[in-house]
Amino acid sequence: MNNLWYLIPALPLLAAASLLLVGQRARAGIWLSCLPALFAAVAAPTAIEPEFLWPGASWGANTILQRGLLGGSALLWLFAGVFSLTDLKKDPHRLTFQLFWLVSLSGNLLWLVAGDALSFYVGFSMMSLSAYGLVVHRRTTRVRQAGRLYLQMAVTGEMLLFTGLMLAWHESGGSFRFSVWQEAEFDAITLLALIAGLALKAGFWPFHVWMPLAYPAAPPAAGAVLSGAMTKAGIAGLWLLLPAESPLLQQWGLPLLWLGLINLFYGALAGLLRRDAGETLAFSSVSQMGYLMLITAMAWHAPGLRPALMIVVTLYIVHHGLAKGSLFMATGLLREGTPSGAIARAMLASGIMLPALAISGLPFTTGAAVKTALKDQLPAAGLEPYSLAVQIGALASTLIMLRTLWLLYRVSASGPTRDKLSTLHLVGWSIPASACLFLPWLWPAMRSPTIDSLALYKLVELGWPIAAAAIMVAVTLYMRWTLPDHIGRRRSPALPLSLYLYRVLQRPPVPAPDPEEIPTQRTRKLERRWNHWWPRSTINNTIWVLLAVLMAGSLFMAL
Amino acid sequence: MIPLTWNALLPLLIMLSSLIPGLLIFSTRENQQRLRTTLNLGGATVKLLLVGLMLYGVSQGQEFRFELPFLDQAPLVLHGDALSLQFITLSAVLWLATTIYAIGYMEDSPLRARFFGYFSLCVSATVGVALAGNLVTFLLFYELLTLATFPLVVHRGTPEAIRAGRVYLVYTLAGGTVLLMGIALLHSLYGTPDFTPGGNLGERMEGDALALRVAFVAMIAGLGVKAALVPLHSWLPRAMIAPAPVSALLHAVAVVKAGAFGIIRVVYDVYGVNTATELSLTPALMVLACITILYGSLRALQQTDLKKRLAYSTVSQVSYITLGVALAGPLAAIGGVVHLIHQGLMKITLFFCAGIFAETLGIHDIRELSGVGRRMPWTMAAFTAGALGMIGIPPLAGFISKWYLGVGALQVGQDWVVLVLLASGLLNAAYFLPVIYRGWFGEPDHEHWKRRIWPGQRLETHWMLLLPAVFTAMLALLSGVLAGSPASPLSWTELIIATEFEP
Repeated sequence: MNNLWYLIPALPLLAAASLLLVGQRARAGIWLSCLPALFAAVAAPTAIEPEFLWPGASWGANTILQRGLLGGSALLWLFAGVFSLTDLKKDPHRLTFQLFWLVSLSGNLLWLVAGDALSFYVGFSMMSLSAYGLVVHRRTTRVRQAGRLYLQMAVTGEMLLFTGLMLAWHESGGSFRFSVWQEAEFDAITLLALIAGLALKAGFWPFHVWMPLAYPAAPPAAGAVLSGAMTKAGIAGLWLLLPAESPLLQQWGLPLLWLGLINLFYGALAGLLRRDAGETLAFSSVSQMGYLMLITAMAWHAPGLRPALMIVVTLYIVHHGLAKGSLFMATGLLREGTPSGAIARAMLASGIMLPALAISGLPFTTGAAVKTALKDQLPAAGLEPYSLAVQIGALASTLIMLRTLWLLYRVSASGPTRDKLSTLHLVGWSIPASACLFLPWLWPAMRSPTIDSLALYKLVELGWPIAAAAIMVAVTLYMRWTLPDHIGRRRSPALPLSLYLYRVLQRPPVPAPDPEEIPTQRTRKLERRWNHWWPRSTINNTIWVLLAVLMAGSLFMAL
Repeated sequence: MIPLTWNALLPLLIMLSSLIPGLLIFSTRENQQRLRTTLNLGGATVKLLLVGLMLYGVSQGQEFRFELPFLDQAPLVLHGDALSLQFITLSAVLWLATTIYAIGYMEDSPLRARFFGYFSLCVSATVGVALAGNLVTFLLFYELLTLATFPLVVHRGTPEAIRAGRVYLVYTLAGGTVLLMGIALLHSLYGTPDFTPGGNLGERMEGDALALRVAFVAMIAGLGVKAALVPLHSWLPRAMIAPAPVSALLHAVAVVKAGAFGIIRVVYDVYGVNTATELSLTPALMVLACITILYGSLRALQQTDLKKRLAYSTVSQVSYITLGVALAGPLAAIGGVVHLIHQGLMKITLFFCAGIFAETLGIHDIRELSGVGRRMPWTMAAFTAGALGMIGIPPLAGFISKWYLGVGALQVGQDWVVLVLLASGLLNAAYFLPVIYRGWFGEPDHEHWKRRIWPGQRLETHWMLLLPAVFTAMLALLSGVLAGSPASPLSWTELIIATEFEP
């Protein structure tokens, strides 16, 4: 039973191997390989210590954060995998996609089960790097540019995290265990290296630039797991790798909180200006990351609340992952065509609106539960004044969700119609989409915040941003306010920078002495004069002179 | 005179197992291909078995020592200790792989007897360098190695090859002379005792610090030529003109490694870490290694020729070994010494792959690699494994070395070295990832590359070329993934370092 932990990261790799050996007959492995993780999230076997890998290795998803995420992420990967099956049917590059998918999955599950920092890092980098293959799958110029930026950020983050890991290992007295690290005391540099490495993955402002480019570039299923599962490694890492009580982190709590607010509002405002549903969804992820940063900042600010906040952050990540994942899949669904029947249309529309509004905090959904849980902790952390900012944030996130819905509506209105949607598409999309309704009742941890959120004054708090946003949208539509055309098409300033970096790196400004171009005339003259200087045994004398110079040099060094 | 016991003969036999086939090969006719193959593979297999035997013996605590009188106070000593076994196992395994590769590679090309003869001599010299029990023996084989590799470098006989060969000879012979001076100076002061973990100088004399420093600088300068320390490195990228199996051997096992191995010997087994640190010799070496690491990477970025890029990458990567030694702490030492193995495995894989691309599809430039992954997925996969390992992506072998170097630097308080490692990792990524991208995601220029296998062929290239590349890539992967297991290079290195740093 405990050996199940081995199976969790290994099964996707086995599935990849079987795809290589027997070809597409093994394609079901893409979703079947998530099952052990789901099972482990529920059954929770005791942890194992695979010491043959490295000293101190431990796998067992010991924290509530990892266990909750293991379930949520495995669910998302599973259904996104089912969803991708239809897309891949006629894809000439499907094998590449499946292989990268499975390696990313393996890495993702590995850091989720990790009980030590090295396992976390191994999983993290497997996931980050192979996700590149998912991002550039479509192979157009635009996609390649997005992929380049993604890879540059991923590798930089990777190296920073590696540096932080070495420093932390050193300062914790040579241990990798999370339990040791959480008791340890790290230097500012160590903390900064770790935080920066993770922030690049999580998309802290201004490191978010890759997100709006990479998510829409990837195929819908890949966009879903990228935003819903993989980028969450950044936030989870902040909880797992950093010390639980650190005076430095306590000082940095408020700055992080402000950075979170920047993410929250910048993401929402920038997203409102975009014209592509994929991009607005990505900016909404940036904005939602702001909430996760807020929760983390609260835990830094008030370490006493950490256990309670860890539950909140878990709930929030799972909620957002499933809802956002289903929305990414919905963009793919609508691009394929909308069903012609009225009932099917209504079902589809509600299935898209539900997770979108759940993200803005619609009562009776997971969104309401997590937002309430978050706000309930603010007074305890001594951060009451920020409650209003959180509510205005909800307004902003509602606006961007409505914008996304509007863009999706336009896609479906102008797109083709079809008699029937693919069953696999429907299965893969609908279950994560409806998770925001059934999860509060199926998952015990989610139940009590859901019930809390049903108090009347809380319903008002949750409801007014949505109502206000709806009115603003209605007014905008009624007055026919539109954005100037060029704003929505503005390209990210990060792209030229990324290209510049690439060019500099391909031609680094280092002198490249080409031996053929040395002015031999002059040296030849010198050589002749030198040869004439010695009547005989020139070579021996030269060696002696060189040696004398060398000795004199080392004498000089010795002094 | 020579004690004819098993323990004395085994080091000799290991050397002869490649020397005798090598000499026999010289006498074969050009068309006796089967005989040559038998000799080559037979020798390589016998050597592997003998090395296995010695490995077992040393792990059981046995001593292997062969001695012949040579100079006054400086006998010829072949000695099998843990460190030499590390190097010798690497060379035995990779020699077998490279021999198979070379047989496939040189098929139907002229002058094979000469090629394989020198090839075997080169390996014998490498084994000698590894087994050498004192500085004089080391020097002898070190010079033999130079002479044995020269014909391989100029094998193609083109004007360019001859020019590269001349540069190679000038650099290495000059280096050898300087090394000789250093060793002679040391010999005049202390004689030439056996290599001993923790240093073999014994009681130090009053006021000899200066002489010791001069000898150290001379020896490192001499060894630094082969180890390609900047500014003594420029022969290496030019020697790329040699056939691919030679480059593979040069970069992974023989020449470059002999230099690095010599540096390890001088610092650990001649001076000893404590003496070297007391004389403040190591910081300068450390700075030099760091400069080489960064400069090599930057120059690698500028190259568009695949083999040249790999060559500059070697310049950078071999200095990891020097860095590990120069940091003079136990953890960093593990990183440096284990990198001897790890770099060998990864770099030989990369050169095998570069040779396969050149031989099968005529690709020399990186820009021609677009979409090659579709035509040759196995080769490209092996290349990817090697390249990712070089960058230091876990759980591949390179990550382990880099990890130990980094934490070792922190252990001795040289925190800035971590920044060098960070920069080097980023630069490595910058010159390897575009190659990998092209290979897997580029659009092939040739329509027929879209099919994996050409009609009438069962594999993407000759099996004798493909098999060694995949084999070494697997080794590089396994020595990273299973680093914690007792059979890994890491575990063996920890054993070596434990004896070096005994209080």
